[in-house]
Amino acid sequence: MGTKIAFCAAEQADTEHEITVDANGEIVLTCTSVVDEVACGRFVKFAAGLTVDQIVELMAKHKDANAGQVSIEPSIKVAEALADEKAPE
Amino acid sequence: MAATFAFDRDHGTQTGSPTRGTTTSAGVTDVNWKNSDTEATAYSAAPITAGNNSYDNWLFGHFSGTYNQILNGLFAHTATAFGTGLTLKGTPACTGDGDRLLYTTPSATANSNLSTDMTSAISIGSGVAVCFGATGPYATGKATSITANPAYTNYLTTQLQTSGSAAAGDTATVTLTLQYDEN
Repeated sequence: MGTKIAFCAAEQADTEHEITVDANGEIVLTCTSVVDEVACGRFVKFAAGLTVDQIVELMAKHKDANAGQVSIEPSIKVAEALADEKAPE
Repeated sequence: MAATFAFDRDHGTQTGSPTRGTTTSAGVTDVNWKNSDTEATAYSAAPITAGNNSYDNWLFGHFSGTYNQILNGLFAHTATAFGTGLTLKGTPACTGDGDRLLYTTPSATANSNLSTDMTSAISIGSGVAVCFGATGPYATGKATSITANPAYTNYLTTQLQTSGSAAAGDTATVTLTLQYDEN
């Protein structure tokens, strides 16, 4: 069904999203970006019955709402690396 | 002395103006995203089929006890990752009456008003702003701080949305955090 550039909350960037319609008629945009050989896969759902204009407006609200999130994953990785670091002799 | 805090939850058909749930469960200790709005129904008895969504969960904070002021509310998913095919959507930031989420009868339809993507664990500082008011989560008069007692947050609504790639079985147990300052 094609693709659409949309904001990915996981990547914190505008990325290409695959457009699909699920069994409930809901429109799903799924991020197709690949980082470190792992597909992002983050998706955004829009209820059935919305028009194109309504979805475009909701996509803008989605970006405004989620831009700037600070993930805790980097801190977890640093904490794990710190635990693994050998003590100086 | 300090404020007494509890999470409460609204259920059932929307009623009143401003709208609220027909029933309120007080002192809830967890959020289980399931294919049901009934508090007493175990999540294992109301599983979400992959590709579908949970019923919206209309949680809110309830303050009582002794305090001068509650302010600086933030709400976020702060620990543990969800698996593939799971997206947690949540309430938008609330700074006052103009942007508080209004209660609607819970359903499994994707709630497009839940604009916050809460799937990733983030620092609480990146959480959505929470507002406070008297009377109930549904009431007008919400602001970023409150001196009234008791006090309530806006609805901290969440919904777990899934795709066909979601794995069967329980999701990971994640942590949702409501942070506030108290004077």
